[in-house]
Amino acid sequence: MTLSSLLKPERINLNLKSKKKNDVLKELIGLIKTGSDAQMLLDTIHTREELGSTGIGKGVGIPHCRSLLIDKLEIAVGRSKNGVDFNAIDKKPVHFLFLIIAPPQDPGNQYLIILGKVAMICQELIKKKRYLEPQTPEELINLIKSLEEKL
Amino acid sequence: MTKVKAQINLLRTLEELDLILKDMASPAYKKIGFKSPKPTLDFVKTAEKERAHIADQVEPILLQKYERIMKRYGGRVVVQVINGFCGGCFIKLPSEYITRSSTDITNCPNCGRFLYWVK
Repeated sequence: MTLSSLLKPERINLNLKSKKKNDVLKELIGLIKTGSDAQMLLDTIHTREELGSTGIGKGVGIPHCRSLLIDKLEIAVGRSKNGVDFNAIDKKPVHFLFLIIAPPQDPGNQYLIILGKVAMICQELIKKKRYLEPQTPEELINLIKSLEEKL
Repeated sequence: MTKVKAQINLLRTLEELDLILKDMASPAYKKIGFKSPKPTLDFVKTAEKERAHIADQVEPILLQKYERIMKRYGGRVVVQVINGFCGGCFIKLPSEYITRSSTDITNCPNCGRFLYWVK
């Protein structure tokens, strides 16, 4: 399973409006679920974030969790030009976010494999701020696809 | 919040923490290298401490049942009822379970998983 095959244009927001962590998480979760499900997902994400921020530094955040509300691996991507205070390990604002949600059990543990791939792709996207290049969700998917092929 | 809802919420948090701990223990997760902002703070120990804190608040008999179901299924211990079906084994639940859910902690009669309804 490739990362790019899991990305859907309707789950990519290249112009996130929120500036605070909680609000940006809500914005991202809203790309996957709405209503009471969205609130429950937010609570689950918070459980994970309270153990330590998933802001891995250099402007990237990878919030993730497992949830019963999801039947298959779901990914939402967001970009904030102004940056979000995400309590990242380097204390710098986060500009690029991957939200990954998986069911409690998934065949072949794809969740962890994809999580690892996202971390590697992010290293590439950080270089020369390449995450600022795409102008449309489709362009971002193509960029990730090309980076994935080089891994 | 009712006592039933409070206990279900604790069980749900417990399951979330167990799933996080399980992932954190895997080599693939460790390789990604998520770090705690404070170097002195160990990620896994923090999660274990939080888990113990939550487990302390769960009624012992429910905790015992939770551990047994988690051991059997490895996840999906506390499940949502969707259109009258158990979210774990997908059996159609008897209608009396919906009435009981507001006053009692209910378990699926087929798989034993804890059930909760979203109104």
